[in-house]
Amino acid sequence: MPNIKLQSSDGEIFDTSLDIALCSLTIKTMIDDCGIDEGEDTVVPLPNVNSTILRKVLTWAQYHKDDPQPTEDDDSKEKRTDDISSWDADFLKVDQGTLFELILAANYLDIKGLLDVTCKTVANMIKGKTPEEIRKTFNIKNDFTPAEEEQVRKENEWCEEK
Amino acid sequence: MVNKTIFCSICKCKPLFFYELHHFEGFSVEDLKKFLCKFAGFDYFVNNKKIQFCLNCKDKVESAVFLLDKLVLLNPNKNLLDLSEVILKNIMEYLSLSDLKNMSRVCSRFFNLTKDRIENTSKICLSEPQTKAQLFKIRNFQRTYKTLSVDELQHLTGILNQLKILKPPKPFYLEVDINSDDRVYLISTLKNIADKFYEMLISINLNFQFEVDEGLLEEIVEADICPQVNKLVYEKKYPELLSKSLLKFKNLKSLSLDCSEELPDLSEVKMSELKELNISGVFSLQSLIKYKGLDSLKIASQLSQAETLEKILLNNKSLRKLNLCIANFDLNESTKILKLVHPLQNLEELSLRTALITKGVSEWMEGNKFLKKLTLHCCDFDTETEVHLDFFTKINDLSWIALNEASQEQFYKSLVYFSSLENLTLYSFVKIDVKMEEIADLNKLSYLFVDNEGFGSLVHNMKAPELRHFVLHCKETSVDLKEVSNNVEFLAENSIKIEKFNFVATKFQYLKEDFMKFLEIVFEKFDNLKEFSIKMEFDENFDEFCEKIQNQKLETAVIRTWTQSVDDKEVMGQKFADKIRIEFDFFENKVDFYFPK
Repeated sequence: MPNIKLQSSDGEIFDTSLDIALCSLTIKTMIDDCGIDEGEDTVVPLPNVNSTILRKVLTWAQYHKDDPQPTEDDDSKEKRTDDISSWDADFLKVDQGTLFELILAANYLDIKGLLDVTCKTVANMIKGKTPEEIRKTFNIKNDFTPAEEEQVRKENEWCEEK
Repeated sequence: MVNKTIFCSICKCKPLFFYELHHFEGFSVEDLKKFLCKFAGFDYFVNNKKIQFCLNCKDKVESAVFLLDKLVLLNPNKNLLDLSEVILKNIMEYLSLSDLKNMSRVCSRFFNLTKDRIENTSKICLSEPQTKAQLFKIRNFQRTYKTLSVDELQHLTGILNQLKILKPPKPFYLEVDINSDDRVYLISTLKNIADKFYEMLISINLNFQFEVDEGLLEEIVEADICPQVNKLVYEKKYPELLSKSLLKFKNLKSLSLDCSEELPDLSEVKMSELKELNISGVFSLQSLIKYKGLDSLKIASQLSQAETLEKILLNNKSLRKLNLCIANFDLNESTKILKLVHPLQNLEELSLRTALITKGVSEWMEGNKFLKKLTLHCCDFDTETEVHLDFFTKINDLSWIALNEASQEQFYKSLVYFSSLENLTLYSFVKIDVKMEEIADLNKLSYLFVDNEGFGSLVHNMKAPELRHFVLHCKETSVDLKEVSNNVEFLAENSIKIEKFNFVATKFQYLKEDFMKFLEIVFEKFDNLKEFSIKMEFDENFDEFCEKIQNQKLETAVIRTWTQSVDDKEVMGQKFADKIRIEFDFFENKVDFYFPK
């Protein structure tokens, strides 16, 4: 499989195998649309991903390159968060800023597998927490007035589990 | 990493992501700022030192200068709140209802994001068993299929049994469209609903569009279901029986009756909860005079009863929706009706389809400033109309059918006043020589045309850069399909964002090759086409036509037809079921396409 050059937003060039790069549907579309041939010395610019994140994305893609392609049926399956592999769990032991940048990169590059596992990781950070614990975890300011807070509580009353 | 609020220098929004322009060829930043001030509405003082703007304004900058490869997308501060709505919703997919509830209490953004998901919750999939967690999420249960199968009805009964055990807290709102040919299961399901949810607030929609018989209606009444029915749609016969039965439907909020023979006497039926009333047919309005406090009223009748209508409207001054389709009003009656509409200050949706309206249009315009949706199918307008149209800045849905040339010219000139217009329906007899102003937000255009010249002039005059949905109605036999194809091709070249194309042809004669050519143009020229629907009669070639649609890269394809040429419609429907939804024996909606003569 030939190589392809990817350029991050800060100008770093990554020479990577085409089959790894093609994990990204965005890159695949760019290659298809621009008609880039094998062996051609073209650089694919990725202005929304910096070099630190692109390096991590390529590491993830290298490890998962032989995974089966996600199908439409996968979307209709029950959404679980307890099925993250130990490799992915270790890979995603990063600071929150990096995790969110990875989500944004996965979304931009259209890599469904990476987007799913990063979103699951964030969901696990939210699960079972009280509103105050969620605020602390993600450093979010409570912008409700006491009256609004009471209103929100009332509106959700119907779905309180008895 | 910068951690401060960034404002778009063009629209002044606070974007999560923004573009920054550093330099361009030989221009300095100062030169670029001056240039963008002039050509893209750039505000020099918003971000003093930098040229920054949001994704929405990127197009404006790009059209001012060709800078695509010089733009860099930046994100100043990345935390959970900075993720886009799509990504946050993706994360929410993995959360339970109780987690969503906690999330909604974190901050206002999360509250807004989770609101819909908590409120609407998941729809029940009738083909799969429901888990307890899923059942807890059920609040609004809606079925949109026309007919529930026996299996689905059985499954629904099972769901209702489980729900009863789970005791969902109030307010619990169950909305079910029931319409089945299997009366045993229909009755048992309805009984089940009535028995199990007797003390709860429930809305049941009964939609009798199939051939209901006298016995069935009696059984429903005997099953003591009526008090729980909030919405009733009855389009079949036995009005006298219904009249008797209606006494039992004490809590109706919405009633739709299509009585081709005679409206049942409603004067003795007390429906204090009634908010929505739709009636059509040949009847006397007399029995409706007692109804007060309606929110929505729709009357379609062949009889002119202006005096009675006046009394009804006086009793319902807080109406939000009014739809009058009355053929035989004379000039005086039309004018009188317009005066009646004037004091309905809460009116948001108005539809008037009558034979003659010449005077007084501008009078009621001043009274109804909150209109969002306006449908006018009239013969004529007074020439003063234009000056008053600027009251209608809130209208986002406009349907205008005027039958003479002068009115149309007036109308096209006036379009500029409808600054919030998103949906527009036009019916044109004549060539449009008026230069049309750009309709910036127009998303959907429905065009009902009679001759090719009118259609051609529309597509050549129209400027709607955001148009995504186009509906074309060919209602006459004289249409030259070759000419239509040429105009559609022109439309495709100038409205490149179109994603949905609907074609409706009720009286249509065509040559097979012309028709196939027309389809080729639609499928090849609209680059972004995702949805195609067609409603027409096929004499032959139906199979070939389906094959052609089958082979397109469409997300949705729908064919509605009343063709006689297909022997086994069920087999045909199944053959293409994976890619095309085929609805045979589709009945024309009389009211929607009614034009006064």
